[in-house]
Amino acid sequence: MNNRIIKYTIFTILTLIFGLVYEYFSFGVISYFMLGAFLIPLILGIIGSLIYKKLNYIYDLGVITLVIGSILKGILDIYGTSNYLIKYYLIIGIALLIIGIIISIFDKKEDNTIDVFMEY
Amino acid sequence: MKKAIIILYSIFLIAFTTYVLLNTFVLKSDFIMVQTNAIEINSNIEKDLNQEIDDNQEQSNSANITFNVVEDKKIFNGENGYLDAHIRIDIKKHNYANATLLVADIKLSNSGYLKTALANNMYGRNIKKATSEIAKDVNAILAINGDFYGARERGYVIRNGVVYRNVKNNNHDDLVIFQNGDMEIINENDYSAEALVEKGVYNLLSFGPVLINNYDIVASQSGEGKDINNNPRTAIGMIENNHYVFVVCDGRTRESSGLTVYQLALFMQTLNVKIAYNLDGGGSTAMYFKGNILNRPTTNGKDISERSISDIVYIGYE
Repeated sequence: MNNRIIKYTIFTILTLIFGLVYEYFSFGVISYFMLGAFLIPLILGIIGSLIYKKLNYIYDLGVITLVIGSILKGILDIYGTSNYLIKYYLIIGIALLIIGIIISIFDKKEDNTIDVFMEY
Repeated sequence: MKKAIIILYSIFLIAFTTYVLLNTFVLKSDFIMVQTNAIEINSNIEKDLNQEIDDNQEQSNSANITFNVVEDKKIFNGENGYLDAHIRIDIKKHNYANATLLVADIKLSNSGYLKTALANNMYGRNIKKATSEIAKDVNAILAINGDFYGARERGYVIRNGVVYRNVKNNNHDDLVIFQNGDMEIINENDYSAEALVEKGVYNLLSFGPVLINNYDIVASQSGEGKDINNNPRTAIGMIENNHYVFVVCDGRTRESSGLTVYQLALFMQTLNVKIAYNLDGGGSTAMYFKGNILNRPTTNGKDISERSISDIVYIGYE
């Protein structure tokens, strides 16, 4: 579990740095999706892992999906455009979060967590 | 099994994200060839500019402007102006709030010479071309970049009397240009695109915000980040029927930092416009005149080059 929190912390910091750097070069165009993307791994990853210790890789995939969707929405906002396909990141991400939580509730194995980050 | 799921999902996520980016910035879609409901230019109601032409020949001689051989329509042709029986354009450079602006003052004998054009004569997403190239395609005398409708999925698109997109952008203020040359600000919540055409709207520009309405500044000093930061700007204004201004402001460079939207509104007010509307700015800002780009278009502040855009507003015969 400590490994999970460490890796989510790194993920949060990298997402925050990316958002700040991208905004710095955006000529004053602000996207809260870009700036706020780091909150997703912070809240769902770090705080989520502290609250519920049995979160699994499906849940992690959901968090990654939501982060990518938020950053992509930020890129589009800063460019001044939009795309209807962005909403699927939210739908798929939330679905994966829910599936991951449900699986972890019903999974009777002691250690059912293959940390997504440990795979790489 | 779990590893396989992770790998497969990762591949799916990368592929989907790549497709979203391509769909947004590269892949052409929803294209329609341009149709025209051209305004018939009625020579019986054209203003007689002959006296004005004589006056200007006298002025231009003293200002040392080059005259071209008199052709069918061209009587006066200078570096900063154009004059014939139907169209007069005067272009001046201004310095305002550490920014360089170009103002094209346009007088027409008929509003039909104020036109819009789409890149490649086609409506659609990612149908783009440089302002100068679109202008050359239609033999424009003067042109500025339009509202870059192709970057958005919502907002009315009405060009030359034809509705290309009637998807409402909620509570959005647009600039409409009527067949008689009058301009007005409308809110998309109040009309459908078809109703606007029935009302006599010939062209609609949807970017904003509104800078000036009925001679009063309505642009806010606060707002979105891009509005309250210095950036290149493009604006269009009407002084009176058939008397318009096209304005571009350079930005993101040491020589010209750009303007906020509110500063642009303040400048437009000095031109005595009744209505002024902000068009797409940033790297899109470009003014074309008789074969050349007059301003310094830039996206990153270092490379001076035009951005490919969806559409232009121009003065011309074709």
